[in-house]
Amino acid sequence: MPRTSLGDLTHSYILRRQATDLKAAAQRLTFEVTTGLVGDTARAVSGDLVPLAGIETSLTRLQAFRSATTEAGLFASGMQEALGVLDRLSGDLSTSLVTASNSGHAAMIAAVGADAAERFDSAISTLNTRLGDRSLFSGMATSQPALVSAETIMQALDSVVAGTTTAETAAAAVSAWFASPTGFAAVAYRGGDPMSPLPVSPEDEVRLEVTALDPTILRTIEGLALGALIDRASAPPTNAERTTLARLAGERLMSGQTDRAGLAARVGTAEARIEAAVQRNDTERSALELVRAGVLSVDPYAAASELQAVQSQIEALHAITARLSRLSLVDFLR
Amino acid sequence: MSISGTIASALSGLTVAARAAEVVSSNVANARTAGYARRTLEIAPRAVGAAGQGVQAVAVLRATDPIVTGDRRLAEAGAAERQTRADFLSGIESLLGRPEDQGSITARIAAFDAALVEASSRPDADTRLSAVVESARGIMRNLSAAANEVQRARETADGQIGASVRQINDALAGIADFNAQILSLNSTDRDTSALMDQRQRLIDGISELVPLREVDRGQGLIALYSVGGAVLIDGGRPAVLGFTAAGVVTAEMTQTSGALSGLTLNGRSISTAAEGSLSGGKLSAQFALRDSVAPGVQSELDTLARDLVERFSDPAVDTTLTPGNPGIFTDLGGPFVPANTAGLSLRLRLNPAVDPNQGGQLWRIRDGVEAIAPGPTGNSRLLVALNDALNAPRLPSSGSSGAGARSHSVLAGQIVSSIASGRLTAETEASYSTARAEALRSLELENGVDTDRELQDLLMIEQSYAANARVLQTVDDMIQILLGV
Repeated sequence: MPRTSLGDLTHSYILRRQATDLKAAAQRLTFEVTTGLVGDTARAVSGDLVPLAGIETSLTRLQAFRSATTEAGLFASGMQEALGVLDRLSGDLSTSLVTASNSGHAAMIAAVGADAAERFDSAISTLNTRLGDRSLFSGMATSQPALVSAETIMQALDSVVAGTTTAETAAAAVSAWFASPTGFAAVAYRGGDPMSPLPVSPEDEVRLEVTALDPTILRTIEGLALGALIDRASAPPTNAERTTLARLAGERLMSGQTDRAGLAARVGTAEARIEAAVQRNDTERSALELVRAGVLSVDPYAAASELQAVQSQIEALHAITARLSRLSLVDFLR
Repeated sequence: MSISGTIASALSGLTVAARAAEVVSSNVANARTAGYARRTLEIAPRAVGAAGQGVQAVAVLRATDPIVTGDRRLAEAGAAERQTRADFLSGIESLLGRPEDQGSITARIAAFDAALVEASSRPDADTRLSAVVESARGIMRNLSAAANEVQRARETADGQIGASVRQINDALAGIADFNAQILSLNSTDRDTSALMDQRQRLIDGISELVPLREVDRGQGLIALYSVGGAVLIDGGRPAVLGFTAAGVVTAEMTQTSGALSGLTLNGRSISTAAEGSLSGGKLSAQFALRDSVAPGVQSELDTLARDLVERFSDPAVDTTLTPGNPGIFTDLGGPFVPANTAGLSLRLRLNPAVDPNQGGQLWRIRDGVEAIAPGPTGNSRLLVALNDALNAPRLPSSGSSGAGARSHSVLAGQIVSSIASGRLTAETEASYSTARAEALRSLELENGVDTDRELQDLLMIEQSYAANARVLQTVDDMIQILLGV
């Protein structure tokens, strides 16, 4: 059918519709250009948001592991430091104990006994070190110091060795007390069970289970305590027995040296694993961030040039609208 | 008699020209009136006896294209139906949030997960435990906001159905009235175009709600059928739809349970489902929203809530729990019963034992919900177990998100995805049918008033008026000559 007329409303309707479409496109592109992100995430991934949500979840979790690894690392290095102090304290003392016992000189024995008492004191306070409100060697009971005070332990030992006359019996009684669950563990240890493994990455966990009840630490304290006993009234009174006591203490500390190195190595391994986990987490994070950027970001050049195109389309539409509205027979009939 | 015949013919020409000018003026005046059909004056030679004498206006015609109009109405009904669905899903989707937004449901679950990791690194720190509780609250806040929106949408749909039904009933009664008036005016041969325009507007008003088919019954009368086959008006009395709005809609109320009203036609109840006789427009979209789409989304949200509750109420995870008692997440503070899955996402609450706002203790997050006294402060066993419970693959106990065990965050991602892809499909369909409806509308508008053309007509009318007047003057001159003889 040949068309003889075209309704006035057709023009305005079509122009209005096109203007609306163009403005919606301009709005979307403005968002994309200014933020660099796609306007409609779901459309960008065709409605399957599971992978994207998975990436976001992993990134959030890796962020959490960043603080977890920092804290675990601090904790482990605090332990390492304390074990180092303990080793130095006992290493020096073992030599002076043996030297003194070889000379058998009463004054030297007394001096080394006093030194041992002081070192025992620092060893206990080293084991009670708190790192940011947490005790290092208390196991789970991080709110408690690991051990009671050195003086309390020595008083307990006083009663353990009371009545013994020889250095050997005294040393045996001390060893028995340290080994017995009702001895040192009950009287001196204030901490709890070893800490459960610490998660440091989505797959790895690290065990930092060293407590003040660790056999190596226990043996070191025992050696130190034996040395400190020389300084106490409860020890066998004769110089000869005290000399033997010094020798026994020195030997005990020396024999523990290898175990202490082994313990330091154990903690060192944990530190290395924490560091490895940090590296692994960082690598995973950068990889995930790259993938996410691939999904969510728009090519800024493409978006900007598209915006430019839409802008010139809108300008053209406005020009056409103005021209068309002037094209009316009314204006020409005079 | 030929001179007086000439006068009569010229007069008839003047009259018709005046009539035509009137029609043009009406057209020009209504050039921008929506729903106005352009009028044309139909003229024919006048016959007196056997001889032709002058011209006469036969009728005022409305220029319409019933096929285009009918198609446009159907397309608009379809577009309205799909748009309603797309709008609802898009609202829920934006409440659940995009995965990259901090406030989205998946980001909140990730934050809960991260809070558990951080807390297991420092179980002694109250701030970390409190972060666990707060992030758990965040999940519940997001879930209940979405679930509230679902119920609000159902309530709105219920109210809108009521309004639509009223509108349809009013329009049908009006159309029946116009039918009667047009019939009576037609019988006295008067112009009924204005009434037809108004009747047209009434039909257009409801064609978006129910897809309609208009049938011309002659004499200016029309009958209306729904595309699904229901007779809405066909001579005599119009059909009456019945519906009772519920006012308040809760998750448990459904049409099957009788708590929500169905639809009746002339007192007989009819199906409101997709194959019902009034389906295909906004009305059936509102019913679908209220009775299937929104409850579907609600059940997805409830599945997510139930998964969350069940993961943490397992005595194997938190050994202090008495079997049957709730873990960190509860149903209004009490244990969750599978029979009460509907609406769980709205009733999700923190266990009062762990929530400091309800007089609970933070250390129960570390030591167990039903622990009597605080345990060792460095104990991270339960926190690690809770984190594992959140991420362990597990088969959802309800819902339609497909088979296969998955972690809680993947389940949430799948639910958000299913809503998002539903929205995308509905949007794509809506944009197709909107484009079609718009194309048909612009086609319909092409039949409308074109002022340029009306002005051209007016020029011709002016000429014809002048010519007829000249004829009269000439006849007058002829009579003067005759009288002067």
